[in-house]
Amino acid sequence: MVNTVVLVKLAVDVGQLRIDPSTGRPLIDEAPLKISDIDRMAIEEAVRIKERYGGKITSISVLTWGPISKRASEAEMPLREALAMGVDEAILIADERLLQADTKTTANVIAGAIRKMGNVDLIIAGEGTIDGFSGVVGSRVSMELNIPLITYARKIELKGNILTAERDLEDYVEVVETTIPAIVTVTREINVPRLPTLLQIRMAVKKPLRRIGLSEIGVEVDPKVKPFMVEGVKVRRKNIMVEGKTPEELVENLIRKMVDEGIIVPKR
Amino acid sequence: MKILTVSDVNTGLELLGFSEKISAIVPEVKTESLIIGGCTENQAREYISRGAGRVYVVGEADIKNPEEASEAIVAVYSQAKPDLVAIRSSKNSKDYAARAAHKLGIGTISDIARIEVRNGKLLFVRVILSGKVVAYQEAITPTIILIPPGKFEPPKPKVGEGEVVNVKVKTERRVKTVRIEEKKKAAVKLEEADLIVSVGRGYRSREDLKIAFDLANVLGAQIGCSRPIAADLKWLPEEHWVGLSGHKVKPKMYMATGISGQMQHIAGIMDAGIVIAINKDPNAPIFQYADYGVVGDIYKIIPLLTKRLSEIIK
Repeated sequence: MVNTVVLVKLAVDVGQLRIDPSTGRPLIDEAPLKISDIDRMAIEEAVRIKERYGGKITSISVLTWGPISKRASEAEMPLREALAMGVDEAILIADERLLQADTKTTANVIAGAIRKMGNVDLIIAGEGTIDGFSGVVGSRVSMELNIPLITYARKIELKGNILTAERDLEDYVEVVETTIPAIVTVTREINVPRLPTLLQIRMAVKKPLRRIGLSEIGVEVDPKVKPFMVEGVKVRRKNIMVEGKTPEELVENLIRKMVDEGIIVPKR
Repeated sequence: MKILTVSDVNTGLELLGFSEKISAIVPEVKTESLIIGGCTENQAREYISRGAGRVYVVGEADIKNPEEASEAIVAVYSQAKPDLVAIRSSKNSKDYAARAAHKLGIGTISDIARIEVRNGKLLFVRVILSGKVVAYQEAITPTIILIPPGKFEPPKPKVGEGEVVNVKVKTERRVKTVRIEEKKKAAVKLEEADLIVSVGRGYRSREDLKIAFDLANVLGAQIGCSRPIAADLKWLPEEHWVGLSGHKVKPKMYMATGISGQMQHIAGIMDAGIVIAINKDPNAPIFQYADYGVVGDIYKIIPLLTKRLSEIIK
């Protein structure tokens, strides 16, 4: 039996995020939430461990995007999806004081929730989230819980209480080993996550989804980075379509643009 | 304000460039450097000549080991008492920066795009939400700032006064290294490429990439690719991968061929000069992020372009 916790970020679905053309402000509040891409791999890895060794999978999510009234109910769908993939219980931590929380606060809250649960053997998280991509929350949780940490795992293997992993770094792969309880962050390459069917998602309605606030965890909030202001990225591109009826014409006109831009220098 | 740079001996000078940049904005900036993994006296003097008032050297710690590197930072931090800790961003450095920050109870700001001053406040600018949104973050000091490689130039050397201090650190490893497998040395450094021809799912097979390689050859360009080509299909090694999780590039010209233009890919070409897109689908999102778009079949356009360019380039 291996009891795992998966950290599941409810990320802003960037594919559906629009920028207000008149103000240039991103309409973050209107974009839907989804499971952060790499966290799907974390869930899949936990499910594979459960299939092999048994045990319980609990997912923990901290709601960092407001407004809370809208988001807390909206969070249900992606969490049902996680439950349908094989998570046994989903915990959603939703509190006004956690909106735009910094990484330290987020990690402290997650660690607090895990400490409350007790009896956790392995914590799995994605290497980073698709919205914030700070890539530090998993590491901070390990420090808060004072347990070993393995980051950037592209492969993990559990034998007894020995966890072996391949850390996928820029120039080399480091094969490492530690004992559980431990926390591991995984890369996209670790697996191909299963896609739950609509039926499985409906069935997952029976699984517990608990919403809790800060008071239930008993963690003080003391942010170290102030909430940020945002602006849409201005793409300053020319957006000129090269004209031409035939491939030959298109190529000639493209080459002319390349010369005008000084990308190529034609011989005299 | 006091800045502490943290690096091994080879990569820290550009962090002094960050410090130089800050001192142009903020009055009375003092800089000190921590070198993890040891260095010679002359190498430490190099840091002093480029702006470090003091260099701490932790010889026994291995910067490649996040547990040891974070302990080195924690130990020196308590002596240096900096407001900002500047660290060059990498996978391992994010790991040890986060450990150290959490142990010290301070903040972290990952992968800054630039620094800005607004209403007299120092702001760290990050690109979030897969490249769609710019976030302006004001740090509560002290904090750790993770700076992408190559963001700042090392300052010019001057005659500088400073001291070198050796620091001993007790470290303990809870994660054991079993072995290291070197990846094949990257033949290409996309970050430094002047021209890039990039390939995506529009190519039907690995063999077909040859037409892009031929074009790159004529242009003297490097080859980039989108995520599926490197990560899923593995037609090209990861060193070619451009995007949020791949390489972020800044060439004079970026030519996206057969690439639809997912946000994660666009995030990698924000700093590119001229973006040219060739795609047969006129509705491909890549055209919104391109300076020049060509709607056409890459299998026809690319070979033709190669042929014509080979005729006209000297």
